[in-house]
Amino acid sequence: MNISPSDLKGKSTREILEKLIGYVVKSDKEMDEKTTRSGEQTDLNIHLCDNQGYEVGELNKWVTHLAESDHITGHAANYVAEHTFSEEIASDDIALITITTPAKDREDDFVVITSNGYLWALTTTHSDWRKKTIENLLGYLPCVERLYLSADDLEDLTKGIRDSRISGFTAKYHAPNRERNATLQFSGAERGDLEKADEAFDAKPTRIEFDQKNSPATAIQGANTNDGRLTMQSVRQGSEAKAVETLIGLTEGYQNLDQQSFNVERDPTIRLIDNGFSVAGFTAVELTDPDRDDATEEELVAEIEEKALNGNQYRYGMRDNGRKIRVFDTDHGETFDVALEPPDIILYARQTTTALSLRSFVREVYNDLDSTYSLSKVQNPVALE
Amino acid sequence: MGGLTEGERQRREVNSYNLFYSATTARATPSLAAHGVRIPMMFPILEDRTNDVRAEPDFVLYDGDTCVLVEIKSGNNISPRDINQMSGYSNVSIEIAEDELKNAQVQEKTRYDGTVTAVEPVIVYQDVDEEYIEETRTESDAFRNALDELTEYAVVMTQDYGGKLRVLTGDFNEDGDLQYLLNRDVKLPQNPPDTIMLTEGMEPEILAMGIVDIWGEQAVDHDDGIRVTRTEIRDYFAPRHNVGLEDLDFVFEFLTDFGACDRVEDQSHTYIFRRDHMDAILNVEAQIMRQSVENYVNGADQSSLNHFGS
Repeated sequence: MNISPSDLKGKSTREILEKLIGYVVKSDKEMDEKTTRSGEQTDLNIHLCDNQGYEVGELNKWVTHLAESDHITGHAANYVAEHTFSEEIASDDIALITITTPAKDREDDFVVITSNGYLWALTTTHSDWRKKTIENLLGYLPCVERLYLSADDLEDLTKGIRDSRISGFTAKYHAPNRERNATLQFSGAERGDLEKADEAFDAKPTRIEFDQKNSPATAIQGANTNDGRLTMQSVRQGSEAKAVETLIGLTEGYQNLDQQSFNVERDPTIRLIDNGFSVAGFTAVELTDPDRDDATEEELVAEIEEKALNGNQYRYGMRDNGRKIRVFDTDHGETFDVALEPPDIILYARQTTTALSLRSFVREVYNDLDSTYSLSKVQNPVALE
Repeated sequence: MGGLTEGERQRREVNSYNLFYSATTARATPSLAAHGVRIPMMFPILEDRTNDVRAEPDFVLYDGDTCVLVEIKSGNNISPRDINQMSGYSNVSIEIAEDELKNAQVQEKTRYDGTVTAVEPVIVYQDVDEEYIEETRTESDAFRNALDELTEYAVVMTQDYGGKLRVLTGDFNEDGDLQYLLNRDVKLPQNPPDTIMLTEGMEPEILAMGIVDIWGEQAVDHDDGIRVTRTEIRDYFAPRHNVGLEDLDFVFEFLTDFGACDRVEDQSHTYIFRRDHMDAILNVEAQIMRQSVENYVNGADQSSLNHFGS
């Protein structure tokens, strides 16, 4: 991006979005001639993250932490060794971060905005380098976790965009009992195609493209991804204000849906009271109704161990004669319980559990175990409040 | 023992508590919580010494009107002790219930202001159903008499995993909303949460599991680890769950041997749980399901010797 901290100084989020949307503005001629959305064109990407402690100005501290901490796997240390980082502060909650890759003589930058427990990373860097530099950094920062939506929520979010239609999507099917791993790429979609993919293949969308009109012509083209990324691909000259509105609406909608799925508002803290105990509340995330009729507890445990709990992030122990797994998420320093109701999987929040570990585990399940689960969070108070 | 280890038997007992607990959560249908039912107290003592009344329910349910005192039994045997307990519950007056609710953070100016219009004793047997009640009532005079006596004091209910919490026999004193809900059956989850890790007897196995659940796991949050003394643990469970200091010494011998915590040098009966104990902490239950704490600490040979001797 050709942007300097002074461009960001004293600017509101809205003004910054407007400036960055400038990178994807197209003339009428360019819009009308455009036949394909892929290729080498520049996109604006916004990564939406749950922020549990990153403050603008602290990049150095975190980079040092990644380099030194023995909790972190070798990948993070290697990553930090291969890049240099600079953070130029524009205001209390806005900064420009540049990641340099000396071996390739590259600089990739992004704007970071923190507000209300969220961190946004905005960039026009192309996908290969975006993944190597920016998305890796977001992935390694322990206090930052990219938001995540189930397929149903992603669909609801995208369908809620005013004057828009779904113009393409990526849908995936992945389930252990079928030993099949299929990806459906659909461009030029028409009404009902997303539903057909679901009905015919049980394929769940992970990315949905949309075309939005600004009467009468298509003015805005964008895409929403299930792993916390919004993309603006092109904005017709004159429709910049509408694009800013769309983006702001999408960020709010995305954050709300993520919160509804993962936030632990009712924690099961046990308190000693004058006369006995009380339990404050209850929260569970239910993964239900997958594309399989049955599974034994043993099968499901083996699949969860192999596909979701593998790797350095987790330590775990079996409970209740194999009917529950107590999981310790070492990345986030939290525990939670996985209870088996084959083929359903229930996550019970414990005292230390927050959205960070629940979201992270659910992402493992959808990506590596079974993409066909439906998700719902249930919660309630238990003690008097 | 029917082939169950000590740990497995105690697991069944805590599971009965947690299954009942799950009726108040949003995973039950209907969820009692959604109808305003709360659990202000677990394992309280309700008493009125001047009138010699004492009740020790496992759960107290409260919706702003009715106070349900619940006793959970993991088996199916109606013992004279059960009848005695329910007789005690039935003596709990509205005034006693109101007094004790005041200790449980009742909220003035809300529906949970501590007002009680009815007290309802309930006893829940895990391994009983309508058929069992019908058959045994016909076959055994003793059972019929015990059941009749029990229902003078309490409503008898049962519950099942993935099944229903439901009334088997007996009538509630009043007909409020909460009584209506309980009479209408509550569908329970198949696999309830591990919220309560206590048993009536607080045997070494459940004590070890409870200690690592309550104190051990806090290590994930603390860089310097979590320290706890045996008297702190005793006081935490008292007065309802009488845990002896010698029992705690025994359990900590197991936990330190197993690598779930360390003894703090220079401080008597003080233990520390750190993050590097987490692997062992997470495996305490699996170990306990296989072998009793006694056998682990004293060696399995000890019990087989006793076995030969008997």
